[in-house]
Amino acid sequence: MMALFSSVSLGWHNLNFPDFSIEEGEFAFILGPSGCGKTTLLKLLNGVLSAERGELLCKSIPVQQWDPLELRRQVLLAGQQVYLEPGTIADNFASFYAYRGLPGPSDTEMRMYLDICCASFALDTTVCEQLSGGERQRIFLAVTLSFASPVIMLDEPTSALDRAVGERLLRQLREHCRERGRTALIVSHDLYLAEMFADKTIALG
Amino acid sequence: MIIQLGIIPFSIVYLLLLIVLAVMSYCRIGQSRLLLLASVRMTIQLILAGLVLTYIFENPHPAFTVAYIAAMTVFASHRVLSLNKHLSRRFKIIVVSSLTAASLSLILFLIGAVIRADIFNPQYTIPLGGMVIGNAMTGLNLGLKTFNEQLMLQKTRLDTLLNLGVDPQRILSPIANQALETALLPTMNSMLGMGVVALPGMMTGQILSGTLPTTAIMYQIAIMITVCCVTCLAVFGALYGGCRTMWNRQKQWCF
Repeated sequence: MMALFSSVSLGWHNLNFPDFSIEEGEFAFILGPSGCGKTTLLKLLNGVLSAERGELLCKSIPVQQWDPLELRRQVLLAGQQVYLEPGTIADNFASFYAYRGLPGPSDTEMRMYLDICCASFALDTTVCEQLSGGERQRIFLAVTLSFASPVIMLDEPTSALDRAVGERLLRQLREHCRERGRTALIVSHDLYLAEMFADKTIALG
Repeated sequence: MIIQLGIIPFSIVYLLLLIVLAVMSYCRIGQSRLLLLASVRMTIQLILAGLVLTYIFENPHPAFTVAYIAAMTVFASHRVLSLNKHLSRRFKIIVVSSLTAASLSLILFLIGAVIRADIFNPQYTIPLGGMVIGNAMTGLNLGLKTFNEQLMLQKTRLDTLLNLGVDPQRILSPIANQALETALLPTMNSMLGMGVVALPGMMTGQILSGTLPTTAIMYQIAIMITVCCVTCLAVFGALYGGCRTMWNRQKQWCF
């Protein structure tokens, strides 16, 4: 398999990252203690931050040579902070797709991604008034996942979920990624989940 | 013919400040020093402005008119930038350019095309120019304040959409639009109530000095529309131009 990402002596500010490679189709975990640079690494991978030292390649091309927006659309990042707009679940899908200049997904597609993310709510559910923090996180993940990017990066996707729901979500997500040939990078501090689901782990700090 | 104010009768108006001080003291509003400072500064500044204007009107010269307008523009720019120190150097240049271009072009239009006076006539250009520049300054302060507040409040939205590959211009446009709307609202609300709730200042001044009400009304309408337009153009130029300085070539936020 071709190396999707590879790095050599990567560094940013006072953070130095171990050399790593991620193959296409892998379900990889990035682990490490708080403050070791897990989120920073995700941002270096999608070009939101620029590396100050070393080399980082995506599909054998230096990250900084990619068109920035094209890179981020190929390597989508769902950040740790959940952002949803006022309105219903369907409104949120429509709004995010409008930002990207894309027609909204069908009801069937929306329900499919909501099911993968263990968020099988009615599409007309109002996100702000009717849902808890964990439920909002799952809606947010579903919207991000629905863009069907070749690479999906999730920063602490189970932080607001209990163990059982977190496991189910990751299991369904991994199944979906394998069916569609998508690569997933998951930042997590949960070693148990990494042991259960990871094809590869990148340990920081 | 306007009634000339004597110094002693005029001084009586300062007694009203004692009423304000008494109410502030009763309500425990700790701004007495600010009230006194503002009153003293206003008095000194207006006296100085009056002395300068008296000299200019008695010795009219195009250079004086240009210098006065330039001084007002510089002061207004300084005032806006001092309230927005965190802006990048490029953003500040755009703000000043927008304020200057919008104000000067509309002063030229108002004096030259609408009133049809000599643009260097200090009697028209200085007071009307001051109103135009002053309102552009106020609009910019309000627009930039709203823009910055929303940037802070919407940080998660900005980062989320950037991570999804949305163009930074598209992410910031709604914030710029909201700030522009906020900057325009006071002027438009003022226009709504004008002539119904109270006669506006410029019209009052003209009527007091003996100008026919019909003439005063036309001047007031002209200046209000000009002020609305200068606020719109100055804020639009500053925000839409300034927005472009908020990301780099790698489409990364640089603020």
